[in-house]
Amino acid sequence: MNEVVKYGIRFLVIFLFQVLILKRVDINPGDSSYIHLIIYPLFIFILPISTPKSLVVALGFFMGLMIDMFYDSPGVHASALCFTAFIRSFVLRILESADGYTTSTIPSMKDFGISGFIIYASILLGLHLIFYFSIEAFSFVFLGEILLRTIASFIVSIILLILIQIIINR
Amino acid sequence: MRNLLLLFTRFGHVLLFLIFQIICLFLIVNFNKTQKDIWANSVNVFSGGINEKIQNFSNYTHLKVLNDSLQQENARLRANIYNFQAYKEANLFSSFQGDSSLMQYKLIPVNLCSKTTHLRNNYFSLCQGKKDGLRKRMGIISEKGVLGIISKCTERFCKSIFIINAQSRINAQIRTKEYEGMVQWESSDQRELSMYSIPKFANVEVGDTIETSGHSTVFPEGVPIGVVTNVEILEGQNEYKVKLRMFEDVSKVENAYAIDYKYWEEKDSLVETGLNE
Repeated sequence: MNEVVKYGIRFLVIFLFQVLILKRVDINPGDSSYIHLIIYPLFIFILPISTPKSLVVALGFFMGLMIDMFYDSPGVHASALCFTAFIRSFVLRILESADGYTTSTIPSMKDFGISGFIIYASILLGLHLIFYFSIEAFSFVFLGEILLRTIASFIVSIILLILIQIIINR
Repeated sequence: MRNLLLLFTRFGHVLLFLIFQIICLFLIVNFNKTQKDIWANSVNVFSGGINEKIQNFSNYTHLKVLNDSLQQENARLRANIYNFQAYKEANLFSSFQGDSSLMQYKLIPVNLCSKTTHLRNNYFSLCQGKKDGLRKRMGIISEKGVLGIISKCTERFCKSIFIINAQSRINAQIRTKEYEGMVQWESSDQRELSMYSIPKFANVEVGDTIETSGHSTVFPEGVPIGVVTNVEILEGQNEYKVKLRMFEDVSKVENAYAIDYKYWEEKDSLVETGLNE
């Protein structure tokens, strides 16, 4: 129960931070719109490893839908975060060290170390952004634009995400 | 059941992921304008291709029906031509009306059930019989020319003498020159016929078209048979021997028309009387 409340609060904080603050922040130069600040996948990143895979996918979908409500893009964020939640288990398996995870391991800076967490978060966030911008464009005709947006958004978002993680871990 | 549950606990998240993705796709396509447009366009391209394939297939399956109806229509149109020719012959200066009393010839669409083309005496059978209005001594023509004459008819089938039967004799004429002769089949070539009894002064040339003369009750005037390929005058005789190449490749024919001449009994009875007396 304690865990549920703890992650419920994390969910709310990350969600509100994304839709109330980051949505309004526009650091794009001029009229371009290459940089999207996206940190909400952090909620999925830091779920305990022992969380059932189905629950992770369901939470990803739910979180995505909530974000979509505020971004006026029904399904786009949900699809992307659902995808990210789905591939999280594969990424975790790839990054698994020789002695493996214990049931209480949480993919956070505390358990993974700074570099470990940065690698883990970068892979997932990168995939998330590629998927998100692909779904948003909905056609690979705009491949160049998709990549440009992914790279621009990734650089800014990952810095923000790591900063938030550092603050939480204090 | 237990296995099913095990399977679900193992791959449940995959299933869940797929279901959520489908729901998302549905949401994206239905509630986002750009994605909706792209989706509609792509789906059109895709389904257009599929639809075309399906359309082609269904067209193909309808070919039989289509063929039958076209054959019916052809029969009607050809009958009109022959009737008109027969009428024009008799009444040069009055115009032709589609009056039923003037309709001497009627064409009945028929299909070839089986045929032989490699023997000396070749026959073919029709899938239609007396119940479809066929009878003995009807001419059979195809799109391009004469095929044969019905020799025997039962309720559902008919047997016909092929034009490439050694015993077949068909009364023919040279188009525009109107000299008559007798066409028969002598060679082993399925498309080569011979024609005799054309008088020496007829001036036959290679390239002339040979057609039926219309003097019997079997064929109307003007059904094409073949084109002249070789002309020679028989030694010591007063007539030509003409070789002609048939327009129709008889080994490929499947659909044909039987010619029903309205007054055949009347005309044939006179011919027989003349012979007997």
